[in-house]
Amino acid sequence: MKRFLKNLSYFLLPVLVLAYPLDIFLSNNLKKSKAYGQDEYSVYNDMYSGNLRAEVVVYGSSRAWTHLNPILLEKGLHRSVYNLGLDGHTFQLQYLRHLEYLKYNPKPRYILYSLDVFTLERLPDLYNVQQFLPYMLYNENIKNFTLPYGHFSFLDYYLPLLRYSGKKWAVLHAVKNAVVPVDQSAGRVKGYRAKDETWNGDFEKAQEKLQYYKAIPDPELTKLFHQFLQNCARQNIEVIFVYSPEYIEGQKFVQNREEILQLYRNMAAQHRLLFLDYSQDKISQEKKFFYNVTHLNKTGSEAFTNTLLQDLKRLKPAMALP
Amino acid sequence: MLFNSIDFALFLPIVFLLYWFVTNKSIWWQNLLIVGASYLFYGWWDWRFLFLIFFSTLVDYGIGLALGNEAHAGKRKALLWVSVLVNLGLLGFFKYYNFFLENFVSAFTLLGRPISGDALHIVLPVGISFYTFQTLSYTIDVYRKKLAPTKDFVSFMAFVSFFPQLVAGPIERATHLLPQFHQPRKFQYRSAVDGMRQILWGLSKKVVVADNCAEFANLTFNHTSDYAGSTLWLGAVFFAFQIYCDFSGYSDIAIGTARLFGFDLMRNFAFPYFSRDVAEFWRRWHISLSTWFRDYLYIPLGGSRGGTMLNIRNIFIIFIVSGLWHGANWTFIVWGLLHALYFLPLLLLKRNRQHVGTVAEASFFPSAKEATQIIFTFGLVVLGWVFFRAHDMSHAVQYLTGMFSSSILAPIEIEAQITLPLLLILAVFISVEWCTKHKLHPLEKLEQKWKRPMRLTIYYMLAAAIFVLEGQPQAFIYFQF
Repeated sequence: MKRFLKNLSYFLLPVLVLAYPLDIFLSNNLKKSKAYGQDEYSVYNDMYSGNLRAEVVVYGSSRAWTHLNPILLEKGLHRSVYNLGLDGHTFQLQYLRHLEYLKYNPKPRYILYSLDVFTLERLPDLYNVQQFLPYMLYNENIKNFTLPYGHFSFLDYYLPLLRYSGKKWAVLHAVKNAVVPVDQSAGRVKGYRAKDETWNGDFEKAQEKLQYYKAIPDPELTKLFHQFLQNCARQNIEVIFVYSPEYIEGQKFVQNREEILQLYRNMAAQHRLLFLDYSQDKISQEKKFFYNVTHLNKTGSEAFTNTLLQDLKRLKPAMALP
Repeated sequence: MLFNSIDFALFLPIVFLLYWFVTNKSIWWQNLLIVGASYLFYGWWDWRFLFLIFFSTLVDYGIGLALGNEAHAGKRKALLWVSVLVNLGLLGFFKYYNFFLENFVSAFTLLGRPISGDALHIVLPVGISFYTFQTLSYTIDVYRKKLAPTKDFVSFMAFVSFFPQLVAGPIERATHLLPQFHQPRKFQYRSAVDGMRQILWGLSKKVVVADNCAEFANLTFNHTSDYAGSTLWLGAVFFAFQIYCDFSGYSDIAIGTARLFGFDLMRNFAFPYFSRDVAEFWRRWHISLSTWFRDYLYIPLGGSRGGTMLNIRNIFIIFIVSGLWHGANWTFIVWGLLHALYFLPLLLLKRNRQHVGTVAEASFFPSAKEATQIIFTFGLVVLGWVFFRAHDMSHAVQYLTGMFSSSILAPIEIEAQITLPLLLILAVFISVEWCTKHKLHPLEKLEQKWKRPMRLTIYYMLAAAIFVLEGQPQAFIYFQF
């Protein structure tokens, strides 16, 4: 028995000793990925480095990071701007990003909150799970927000390397990043990346599958959103609601769209926030600005950012520095 | 508790250490620890199932004792029937109630006399078919006086619920396993090391091969109409490897785990996809079930002693019952029937025991004839797996129609990014199995061929493959049976 246990220990010892260094190796190299993980790594890297220090931050989903160009906003507002839009997630995980941002960076002066009909929905799946891999070890905020999805086990947040088990593509990308020069393709710039695409058939396909969609705001998430707005007010962070353009033909696809918009209007009124709704704007009328119903292409996003900039200057003159 | 889970990774060393360091002074305490651990292991799924296994244990223990005290042939037979009816009654209720009800309702409706019957929401207890057959083997062997009834209830509980093989076998005979619970156990270094190797090999089969194949097979079986014949063929082949590696991987882990505790379980798989005909396949696939049916059904029915027609009838009975054992669905019955039909020509030509040894025993490569036989047999088995995996009969027909459609030569429609690594994994796996087909498992007696550094390299490579190449975790297929 002694011999068995001794040999077993000799076998396991290198695994235990190397687990943490290997974890650091994989995480540090995975963070360099651009195409993998929907290019969220660059945003996390900027955020966790603590060098963001933006006066204006953009929150929201993919509609945020593809629609609002921080470079154009910076030029017009003369303030530093960063887009923290999070692909495929609603306020459920956008709030995690907000908490993590404040933990490592000074609080912003303004938050441009990009809303959509799904913002207050609770999603059952943890989309793009690989984005959390390099940052989740010993991170309580990430654990609290992602553990309930059931994708990771409790030990994944505390035992080095364990969470990479079965993540073959993540491991492959990390190793690739370690041995070959990192992908130099244009990634997200200050969190923003426009899509230079023309109209695709996503909407038609969705319509074929579903007659209509009904968005259901989650009561707990709605409550949390109210708390978030109150906390921002308390910290002297001004939140501005932005409902960026949606292609007009697709708007009827969401059955209770007006009800959701009314919810946002009420929230804005209750918390005395500016609500800029572009869903009926002229950009929303033209297909050429979109690559699908909810997403503007590069031309559309630049046109929209310029429109938003003018409106901010007009309605919030203090926001634009001389 | 799944073998490929963190829970089990913590559970196993704790039980192992308690077994050899705390309860090692007495067999009774060791058996009691096995019972406790096994009930915890089983109750991890659903604690309510524990009452069922305890009831089954109690009934067979009592009947075993009664059989031991009873000399009257009629009363002994009656006791045996009580055990058979209770065990099969429980199995029938939990597994087949809704199936038979639906079929009765359909049959009466077809006959123009519609009747109503409400299906019940019955949760199928994990592994019920396995432990039911294991306890039945005890009662039948006691009835046949092949085994003396045990008076040690703890040993009997441990025999019924022994956690390594409780939920998916190998289905042990009481004559083989039960006496082991009565013997003192001494830790055997070589046996334990080999057990660890078998666990490692079983885990890699399950996690690397089966779970990755499942991702592809699930696509073709869940979206059959979306794929061309060529892709459906590949999906069926991947399912063949999924089910083999899933089930034989489980058996390897079970056998290896049992060896850590000083127990020897029977072999369940012997490289079945290298079989040269279907008869050989059935001597190599799920051996514990095939031999169970042979000993407790085929031979009592007369086996091959009563002439060709009776033999054919018996073959059809065991294959159909074997199909039904797997699940309450016509697809399983047709799967069994299909194998009976595959078996029939071999039986009529008296060639069903033609291939009893290992293929290409004297040479590294098989002869052209052997290679053709292996491929042909594998093709027949793959066609059978379509029924096994299909949701229902119409789905099986749809899948087979797709496989034999004009699109059989069309390009594979699933990304090369998924298909090629999977084919590479399979190529490595088949090569390893081929090179080690004379062994009980590929890592057996590794020390005879490789020195320590090479052995360690093999272990680390397998561990790394399990860690990195792990597919989307899937439940063991045979848990549902």
